[in-house]
Amino acid sequence: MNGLTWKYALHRIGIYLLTILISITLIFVISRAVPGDPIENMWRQLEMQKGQIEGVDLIIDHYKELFGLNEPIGIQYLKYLWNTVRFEFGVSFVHYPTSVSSMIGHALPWTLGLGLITTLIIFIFGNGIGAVFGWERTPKFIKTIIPSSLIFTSIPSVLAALFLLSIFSKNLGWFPLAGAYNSNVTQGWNWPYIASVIKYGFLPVLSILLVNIGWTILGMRAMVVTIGGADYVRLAQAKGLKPFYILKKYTVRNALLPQLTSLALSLGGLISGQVLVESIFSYPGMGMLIFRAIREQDFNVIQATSYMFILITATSVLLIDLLYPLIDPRITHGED
Amino acid sequence: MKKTDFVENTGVEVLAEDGCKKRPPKDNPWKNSRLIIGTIILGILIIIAFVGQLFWDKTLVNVGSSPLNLPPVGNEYRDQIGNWAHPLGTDNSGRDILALVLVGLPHSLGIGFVSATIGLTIGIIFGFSAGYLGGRVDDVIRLLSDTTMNIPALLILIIIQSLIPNAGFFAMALLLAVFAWQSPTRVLRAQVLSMKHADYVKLAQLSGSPDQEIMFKEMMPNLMPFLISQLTAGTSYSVLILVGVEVLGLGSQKIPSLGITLNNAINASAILRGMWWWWGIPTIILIVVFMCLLLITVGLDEVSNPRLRDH
Amino acid sequence: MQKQKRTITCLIALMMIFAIVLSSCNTSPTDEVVEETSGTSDTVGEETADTGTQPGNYENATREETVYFDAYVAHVDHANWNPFITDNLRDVGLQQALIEPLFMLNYDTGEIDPWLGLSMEANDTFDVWTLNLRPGVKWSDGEDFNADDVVFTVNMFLANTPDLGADVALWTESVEKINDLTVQFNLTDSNPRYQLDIWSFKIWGDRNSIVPEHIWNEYADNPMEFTNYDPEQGWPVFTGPYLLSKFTENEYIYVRNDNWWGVEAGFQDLPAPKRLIWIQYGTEESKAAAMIANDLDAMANTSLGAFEAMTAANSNIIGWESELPYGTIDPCPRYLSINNEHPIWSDSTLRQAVNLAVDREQIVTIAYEGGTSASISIFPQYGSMEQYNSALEDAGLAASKTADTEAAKALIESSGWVLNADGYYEKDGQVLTMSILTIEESMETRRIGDVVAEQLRNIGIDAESQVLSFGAWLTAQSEDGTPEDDYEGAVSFVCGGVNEPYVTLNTFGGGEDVTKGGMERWSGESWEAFRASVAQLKNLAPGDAAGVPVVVEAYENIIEDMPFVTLTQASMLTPLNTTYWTNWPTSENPYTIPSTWVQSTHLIIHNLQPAN
Repeated sequence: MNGLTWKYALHRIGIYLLTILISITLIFVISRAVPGDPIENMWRQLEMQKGQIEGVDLIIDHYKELFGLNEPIGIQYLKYLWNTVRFEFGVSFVHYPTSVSSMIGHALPWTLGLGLITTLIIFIFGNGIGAVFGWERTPKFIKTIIPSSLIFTSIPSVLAALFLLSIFSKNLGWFPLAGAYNSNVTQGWNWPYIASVIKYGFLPVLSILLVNIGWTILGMRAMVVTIGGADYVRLAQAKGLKPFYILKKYTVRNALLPQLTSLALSLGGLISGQVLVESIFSYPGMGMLIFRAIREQDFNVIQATSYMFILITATSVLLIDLLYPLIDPRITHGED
Repeated sequence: MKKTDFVENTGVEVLAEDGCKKRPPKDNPWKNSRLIIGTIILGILIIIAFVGQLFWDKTLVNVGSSPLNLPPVGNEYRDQIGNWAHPLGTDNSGRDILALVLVGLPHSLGIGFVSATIGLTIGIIFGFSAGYLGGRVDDVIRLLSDTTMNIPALLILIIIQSLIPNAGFFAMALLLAVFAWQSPTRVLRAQVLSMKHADYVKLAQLSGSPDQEIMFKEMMPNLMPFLISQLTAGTSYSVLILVGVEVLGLGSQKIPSLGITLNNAINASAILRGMWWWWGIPTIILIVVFMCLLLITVGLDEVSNPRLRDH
Repeated sequence: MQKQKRTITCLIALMMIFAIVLSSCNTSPTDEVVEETSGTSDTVGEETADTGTQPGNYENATREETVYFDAYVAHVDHANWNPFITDNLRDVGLQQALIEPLFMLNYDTGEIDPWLGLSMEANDTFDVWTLNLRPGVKWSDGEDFNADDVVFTVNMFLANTPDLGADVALWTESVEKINDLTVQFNLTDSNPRYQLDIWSFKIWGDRNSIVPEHIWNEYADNPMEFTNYDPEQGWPVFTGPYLLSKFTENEYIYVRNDNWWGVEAGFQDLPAPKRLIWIQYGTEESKAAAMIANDLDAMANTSLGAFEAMTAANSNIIGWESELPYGTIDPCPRYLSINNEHPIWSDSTLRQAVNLAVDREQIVTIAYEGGTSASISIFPQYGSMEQYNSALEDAGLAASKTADTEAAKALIESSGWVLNADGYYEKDGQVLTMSILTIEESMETRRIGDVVAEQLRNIGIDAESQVLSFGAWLTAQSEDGTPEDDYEGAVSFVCGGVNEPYVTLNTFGGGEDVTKGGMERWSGESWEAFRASVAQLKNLAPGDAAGVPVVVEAYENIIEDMPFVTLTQASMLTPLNTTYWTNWPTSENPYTIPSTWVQSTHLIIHNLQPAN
């Protein structure tokens, strides 16, 4: 029987939609759980930093009205749901009248670029190194070198970022201290711009990479070791196939699938690690956006950015769940 | 959520095939070099911290209790020479780094351990229920864990922090447990699913044992090493989040901790000022702790999964 | 293998499509615009430093001709150059390079110096003000800046309040043009501070900038929707000596306008820098590294430790003073706010005890590492405030630099508190506690909070500092009707009068129909007396010597009831780099304050001289 049944797919999609609904509801509740009113806080803070503003009460009232914050919470919630479904995020409170979608439009490409590249590198190199680490025929000394490279695994990504920044940017001056590209180059598909983007993105990518790649390596090692002992691999060995061929065609091939699942599951963690790294490198991505918005209680921005994260993680898990039975027919999702 | 996924991948098939049947009789699986080294180093660190607290003045963690910006013994910084009164130096508010480390390390580890225990307990209940009972229960638990995994942890932490500013030990552990149960739940669910069809479980079912009994009396014991490895992985994960939160300046300021010390150092540009002891010592200790926890976790995985052992 | 490859590719493709769909949701002109403006620069060849960059090519000016400023805040919508939006836009060069103020307050002399305006005079009752504009001022597109623009702008404020010009609308009844260079404002009420508060640079910038009528008239009814940005037409148009050249995600670049009005009008020469860049770095470490590498000429506020590290690495970096405290003072002194309605802390004897227990010198030594000075009073110690502070000192009302712990303990005991076994005071089974709220974003308040808590613990008050985000900090202090759940203490700051005490004092007692003063909820007899003095001050012109005895009188009431405890002057330490530019403002050459995010930066730019 085919691994993917309509029943399973519908069930899975149902759960997916329910997950998103509950998540965005939680975001709505949580972002409003912080004591204080965002408009009031913002203007009082401005007043404290930049001198008294006469008539500030009028301004605060005006903006509360304008942003619909005076409406009953139920109405606010229903409007929020309806707007979110249509990708209508409204305007930023703090950066009024800038629309949230234009803010996200500026930030998302940077974050996706950074995220995609790190994810790809982690997946390719992490699994490559992991396979070598777990393979029986790998020389002993390589197997002892690899664990020492895991030293950065599980230190907070903020610390890794600070280290790299202080060594490579501050002391050695090899990389820029902040930003996403050099102001002297013209944006577009030209080599100086691309080179500049790579140069500016190198350290942020490396910071996320160093603290995350270890888990992929360890996971792959475990997979390779486990599969290495499976009957069909033993059979292949008995047939006299070349060991490296077996590693490539049998072991790694079968190990990659579960690794892909872990990747989808870890996407959320990768993204939240990226948030802090971006703020350290002043990288103009979603991380900076969400970090600042949380601080400033900019509800519309928090909601929209969280929604993006929720969609990305939930969708990738869904895709894996749906694609898995197609790829690996041994797995069936019917009733037991 | 990342760190335990690799365990999930490996555990499923292995335990289903041979994990519960028999152990290779040759050598004791607990004599695992990684496990032993990790445990010993971590043990030494914890003992030093506790014994040290008896011999070292704990009030030196207070602001202004020591001279400012003093380097460790044998170093010189801005006309000040390190002395034995403050062997690891002091920070820019006159806090003794040694006292900070002695008080901070058990504190951070303790919070991480408690929250991982809570997370694992929830994980066991949820994971077994989801895997063994399946159906609606499975769906609800899946929904719950997916939802909480979706929401950016930073958002929740920053917001909770502002609601409960000076969270104490257990409040903080409970907070972190919010993020510590999803991974064990997922992994255990997979384990249980694969063990469900093992002969001894089927036998118990036929003999009419109630579900709880089968789950906790028959299946649990077989998962013991696996559960412990989940606990150490969880501890390391919780400490990581804790430190991350503190480095952002969000932890409780009441009790000194390694993360808060790092936050102070970063905020005071300690790297720029060349006060390496201030940020370097807590960082090295954290790295050692994480390495130990990693070694223990990997070691325990090898105990529970014979194939992972070195050939 | 094939299948898996396909899956991965499929996944990535899906994510990319997702991204493209999302990013295409909005139409932002920024990217294309940046391309255009910078495209033109490529056609002109590089000039050597010797001959200097030629006019029209200033966007390729050399490092020696460029000043790099620290853009410490984030401006988000780069294509919106409307000066009235709340998007941190003004701090990234708009008000320092493009928008010139009518008047500027001089912190040293307390005088209001003219810029676009020549003078502003009030009638005897301070309810009709006449503004005289400087002749010869032109907008950057060559049009005259005159009374019509002022009248248009003020009317735009009146029609669109409170979106913009809320304070203008609050005080202004109507505005009329007398002649091309004279405008008359009819006020709703008497206001001796109309010129200073509404039309001058005082603390940050002149929020109410005059805009060109010939550009804004189409948007007179909906000014917030105008982006004021169109490089083809040379927008944004203001009067300043620079023009917007281009911007990237973290840089804002301005080039000198050699046709600036000030030269012809005989106001001032062209400023020396040909290009100004506000650049945003991520962390203080990054900024400091850029300063050391001479990539940054002026940095926003930094900590003393970082400053010392910078000067040690690069001897060309200077501060306001050449020795400790290196910096100057910020307009917002720090103080310990106490909840006067709290069940325990409503007892003024205890507040007096806290005042005695606080060692201000120690706060300076530990929390600031020597980088500021202990406060004499709640006022900032600028030159223009000297007469008030010395009057307070003469009257014996100045805050003590050191603590008198014995006297503090005696006061607490006189109120019936007894030391318990833990060494803390206790009364009726209740321990004397004070939780001091500090602001997470402000390391300065956190460090002060730590030291003050320690000092209070030393005399037997079980104090601790609590870190809260700004919003939570603010909310925790605001009233919610249940005083017993409210805050006990907070490290707070008051930014008010920089040249006169009225605004600061008004924070603690002002307002028409209030029953208690400020966040501290001060009330009672002393407060009533204090309010009467503040009301008297309100009607005196800033700097009027008749105000001095009134201030002393008001302050006597503060000392008597101690609603809050004065702590320290806030430090403002702005590193400046003399490698490429000299003649920065310093204590020896105090032509203005050294902050490069406020509007007085115009003065700095006009004063800067190339180092070689």
